[in-house]
Amino acid sequence: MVDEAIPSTPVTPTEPGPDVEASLGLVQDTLDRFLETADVEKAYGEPIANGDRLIIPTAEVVAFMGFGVGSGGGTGEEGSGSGGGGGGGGNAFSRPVAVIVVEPEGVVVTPVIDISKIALTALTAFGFMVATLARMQRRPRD
Amino acid sequence: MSVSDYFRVETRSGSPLQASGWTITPLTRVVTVRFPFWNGGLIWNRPIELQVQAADEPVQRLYVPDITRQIQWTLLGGSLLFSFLFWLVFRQRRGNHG
Repeated sequence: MVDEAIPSTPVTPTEPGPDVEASLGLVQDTLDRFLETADVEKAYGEPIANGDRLIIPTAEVVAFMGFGVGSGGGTGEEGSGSGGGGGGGGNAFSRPVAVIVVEPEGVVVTPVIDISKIALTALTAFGFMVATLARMQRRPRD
Repeated sequence: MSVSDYFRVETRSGSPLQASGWTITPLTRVVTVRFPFWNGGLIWNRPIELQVQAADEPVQRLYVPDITRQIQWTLLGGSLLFSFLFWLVFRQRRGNHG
């Protein structure tokens, strides 16, 4: 018994649909914005003029992102199918570091001290020391 | 594939700025990490120094200090050091008693 060959439908390449193009454009825009984090202009803000002074804020910027895409396809007795998808995410943080004041007399760099971050770090450090002490003072089991 | 494909540290220079008779060139340090097991990465950009120049004078370098970060590292490093010292002292005491 010879199975009849299933006539194959020739596959002709087609242009990506508008949805795919829009998705690719969004991914490209996101990547471009992510890479812009490395620009010098992101660490040094827009100068602010105040009389004969120029004030330039500076900040530390950290950005991370990740994405993934996948696709698959299969052929069965009833036909064939395919699908694809993707996703991604990321975040960006910034923290003021210093303020630069440019005057005719000279340029002054004034650091910014973030008390809240220092307090949180101090609490973390203190908690670590207390936990270590408590663990050491725990009596060994007989 | 080399290490620089996944981890790169570079110093970038911005456009010079003219103000109050000074020419200021900002510099940043950029750390770029690309995760090999994951389609993603991390960019860390921070200001490091300014190159300042007045007319007909040599270029001066002004360091941009990150006092908050320095204090944080000091606190964390101090806690690790003190914990290690405590561990040494307790270990010695247990050795004397035992």
